Amino acid sequence: MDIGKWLRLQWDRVLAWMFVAAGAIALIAGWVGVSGSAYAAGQLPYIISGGIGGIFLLGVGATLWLSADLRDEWRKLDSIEDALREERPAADEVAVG
Amino acid sequence: MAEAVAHSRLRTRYSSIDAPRQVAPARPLLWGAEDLLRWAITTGLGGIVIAVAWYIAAGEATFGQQVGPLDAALAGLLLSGVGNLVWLLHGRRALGERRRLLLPDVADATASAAAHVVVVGTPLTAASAATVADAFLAGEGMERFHRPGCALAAGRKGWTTATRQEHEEAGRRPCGVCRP
Repeated sequence: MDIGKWLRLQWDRVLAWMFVAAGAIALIAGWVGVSGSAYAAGQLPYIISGGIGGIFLLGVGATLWLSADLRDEWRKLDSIEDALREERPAADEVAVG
Repeated sequence: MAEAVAHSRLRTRYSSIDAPRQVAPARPLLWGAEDLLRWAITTGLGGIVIAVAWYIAAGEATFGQQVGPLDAALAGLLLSGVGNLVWLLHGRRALGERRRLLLPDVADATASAAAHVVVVGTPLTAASAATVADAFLAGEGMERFHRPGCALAAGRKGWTTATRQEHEEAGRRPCGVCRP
């Protein structure tokens, strides 16, 4: 399959995966940073950047992924509406005539 | 009643396409510019607050001085979460409204099927009622046959039920919307 075409079609899911991957990396990096420091004052910046920042990135990724699902369903409704537009006038003409 | 409501919804929604060669109405959007702006602001602001909180906390030497930035970071995360939630809930609501507008729901479909049986004067027997799913609707001179709950069959009077084979023998094709 053409990668470029696939990326154009699935840009929202690709972006979602990038955010999720970045969030996972941030969480792991935060854990490594916290585990390497013996003092709470040294750990807290890692908790903020790695922990809270990682959760933030995961949240954005999840939102983008769910948005992609909603957009897919919206496109299906677009095609149903198109089919209705094609069918409805013909049906009305026959019903009237 | 449900059938009438569904038909009325479709009539209202598609009244513009009854007139031939009319310009098609603009396709609705799942999220508008306002929703996108709201989401971008809450998410962006949340991210900035977390980054600034991290920067300040990294510059403080004691835990007591870092608690403030930690609280701020949590507030940023909360702000972003609320923004994401509002974005998704708005999308879900818009999708549900459009789905209800375009397609009758299951309750409407069941009522519609029962109403059609009464309207066309071909009451189902107990045996045939069990196989109502095998009965499809079409009008005289129509080219397509539909499921009883199909949006295109809603409100049609004088349509008769028949099996798929009978419709196909009459030269009809399955509806492109309900795909019987």
